[in-house]
Amino acid sequence: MKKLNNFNSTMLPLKMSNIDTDQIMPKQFLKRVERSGYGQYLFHDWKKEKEFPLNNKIYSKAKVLIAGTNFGTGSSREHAPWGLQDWGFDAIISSKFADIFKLNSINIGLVPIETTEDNMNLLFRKVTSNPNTEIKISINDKSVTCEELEFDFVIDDFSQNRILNGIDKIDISLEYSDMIEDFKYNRSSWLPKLTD
Amino acid sequence: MVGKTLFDKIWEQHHIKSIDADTNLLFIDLHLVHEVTSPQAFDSLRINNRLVKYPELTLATVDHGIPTSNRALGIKDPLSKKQIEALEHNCEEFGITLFGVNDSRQGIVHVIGPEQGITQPGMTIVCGDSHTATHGAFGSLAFGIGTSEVEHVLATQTLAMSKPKTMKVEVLGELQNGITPKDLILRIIKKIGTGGGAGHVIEYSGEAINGMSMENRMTICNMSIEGGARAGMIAPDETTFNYLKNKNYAPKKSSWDQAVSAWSELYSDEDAIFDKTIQINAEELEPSISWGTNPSQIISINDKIPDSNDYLNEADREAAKRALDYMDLSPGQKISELKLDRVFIGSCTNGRIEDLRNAAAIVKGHKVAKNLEAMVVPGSTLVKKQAEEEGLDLIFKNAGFDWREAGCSMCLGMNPDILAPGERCASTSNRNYEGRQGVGGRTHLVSPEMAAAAAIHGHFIDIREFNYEKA
Repeated sequence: MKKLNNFNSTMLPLKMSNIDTDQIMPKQFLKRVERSGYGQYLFHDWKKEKEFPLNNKIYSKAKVLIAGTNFGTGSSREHAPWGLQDWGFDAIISSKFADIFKLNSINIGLVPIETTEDNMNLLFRKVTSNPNTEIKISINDKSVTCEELEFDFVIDDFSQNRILNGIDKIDISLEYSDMIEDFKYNRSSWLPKLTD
Repeated sequence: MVGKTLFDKIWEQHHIKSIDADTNLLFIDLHLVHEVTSPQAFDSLRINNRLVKYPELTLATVDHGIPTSNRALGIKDPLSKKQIEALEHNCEEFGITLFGVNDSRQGIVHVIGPEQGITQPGMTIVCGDSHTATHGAFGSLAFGIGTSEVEHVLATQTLAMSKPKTMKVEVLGELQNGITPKDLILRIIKKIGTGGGAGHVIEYSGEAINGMSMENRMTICNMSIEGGARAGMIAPDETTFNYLKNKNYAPKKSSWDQAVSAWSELYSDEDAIFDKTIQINAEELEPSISWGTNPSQIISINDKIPDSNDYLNEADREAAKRALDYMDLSPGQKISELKLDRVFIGSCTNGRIEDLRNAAAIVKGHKVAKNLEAMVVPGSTLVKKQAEEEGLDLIFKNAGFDWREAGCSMCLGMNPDILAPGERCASTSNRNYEGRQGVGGRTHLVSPEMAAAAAIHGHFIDIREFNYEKA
C-alpha cells in the first residue's frame, strides 16, 4: 500500500451526492486482470462531458478530491479507488463515504477524510472562488488546514499506522496464525467444507 | 446484563482477538469468489509467496462476465474469456472448488450458496461483491469486501476490522395483496437513503418478515447495501431450517439436530439495544418503482415524477436534476406513461425460482408488447433446470421472452447483455445508476411481477389491477 504523511495540494471539486463506483470505474474496465493502469478509465463516461472537472486543466495537479455526501456508494469494486489513486489523488474529503469504498481506499493508502457538511460547503466555496487554493493534510496529526479553516478527522490508529508506514495488513494478521488455527480446529463440526 | 443482538452473538462467536482498541481479528467461515474481483488477489498471493489458508472454506463460481446465450459457442469477449480462464487456473493452482462454466451447479454466487445449503445460520460469509448481504437472510453475518480484503481472507481466513453498529428495521403489519418484498425493500431504501445504513449492520424483523419465504428474505437482505449497510440479517426460524434440511451441504443426521439447537439461539434478545431503529408500515405500501439514477429515488406506481426543487440539500438537488435529465423525465409526469423498450427478469435480487414462478404466473397466456424485448435470466443453472421441469420456460418463450442461461447478465452488463443508449428498461435487479445496464441505458427497478406485467403492456401498470392466478 502507498505510504503517506503530510502533503499540500490543490483540490478538485465534485459537488454531487451519492457518486457511485459504477461512475468512478465503469464495469467494462473490471474485465482487466491487471492491478495497475486504471487512472485513464476514471469517470470514463462522465469525462465525455467537456465541463466535467477532471477535464479542466486547472485541477490537473490536485491530489485531493472534494465530493458530495455518500461518495463511493454501490459496488464493492476496488477498481474505483485504484483508478482514483492512479489518476493522482491521495485523499478524498466528503461528509460521508460508503462503507466498502472507505475500507478499500484505506487498504491501498488513499485517505478518506470525513467532515461536516458546513466544512464541505466552505471547501467547495473556496475552490470555486480560487481553484489554486491549497489544502494541507497531515496523516500524522489527523488534521486538515485550508487557509483559516482547520479541522481534525477520524482514522483509527491501526489504519493510520499502516498508511504512515505502508504496512500490509496481511503480514499483521499472519502473526496470529496459531490463534487462527486453534480457532478453526474448535469450530462446530457441521460447518460446510468444500473439499475434504 | 444487557441483552445481545443477533449480530453481537455472531460477532462474538467469530472474534479471535482484539488487535487494538478498534481492530478485531474475525474468523471467516466461508469465502465466495468470482472471476471479476479475484485475479489481482491471487496474483498478489503469488508475488508474496503466500498460500490460500483454508481452500476448503472457499468456493468459486463464474457469474459476472459469463454469456447467457448459447454457451456451446464459448466466450467471445477476449477480456472476459481471459478473466474466466484466470479463475480456472487460480482455483486449480490453489486447490479451490470451482463451480465452473459447464458445472450443473454454476450460477450467481449469491444464489448458489443458499441453493447448496452452504449458507447456514450463524456463519460469517464474505465475497468480493457488495450483494453478499443476501446470505444474511439465513441469520449469518455476510458482507461484501474489496480485492485487498479478498487477498486477506484467502491468505488468513480472517478479516481485521472494526465492529460495525447495529440498526433495526422493524416492518409492522403484513404485505398486502400484490405487494412484494421488492416493493418493501425499495421503500426502506427510500426511507433511510442510500447512505442511511452506512457503518451499520441491519436486522430486519416484524410480522411481514416472519411471514416471508427464504427466497423473499434473500431479496430483502440482498439490497441492504443499496441502503448503505454492508450487511443485512434476519433471525433464523422454522422457515430457515425447513429450507436448509436435506440441502447438499446442510448438516446431516445427528449433526442436524445439534445444528438446529445452536441455530435456535440466534436471535436478538428482547432487551438488546440497537444503535438505530426505524419502523415501516407494510400495510401502506404500493408497488414501488425507481424513477432516477440511485436506488433511493423511488416512487409508487400511482405517483408522479418529482421535481428536483423538492430536495432540500443542494447536492441532492444537483443529483436529482442530473437524474431527471439522464432518465429523460419531466417533473409531474406519470410513470405509467413511459414507453418501455426492454424488460429484464433475473439477478441475485430476483432471479430465484419463486421469482420466476411469480413472473410466469402473470405472463401465462399473454404476449410481450410489440417493439419490446424481454428476457429471463435464471439466477443459477439449477434454477433454470427447475423452471424447465415446471414448464415455466415455455410460458416465457410462448409469450415472446428470451430464455437464457444463468448469470449476472444485464444487472450490470459486464457480458454481452446490455441496453443500447436511450433504451428504457423495467428491471428486477438492484441498481439503477447511470449506465449500469449499458452506457446511456435507463433502468427502472421493480418487482418480478411488475416487470412481467410491464412486458405485456409495454408500460408500467399497477399489478393490483392485473387479473391473474397467483403462483
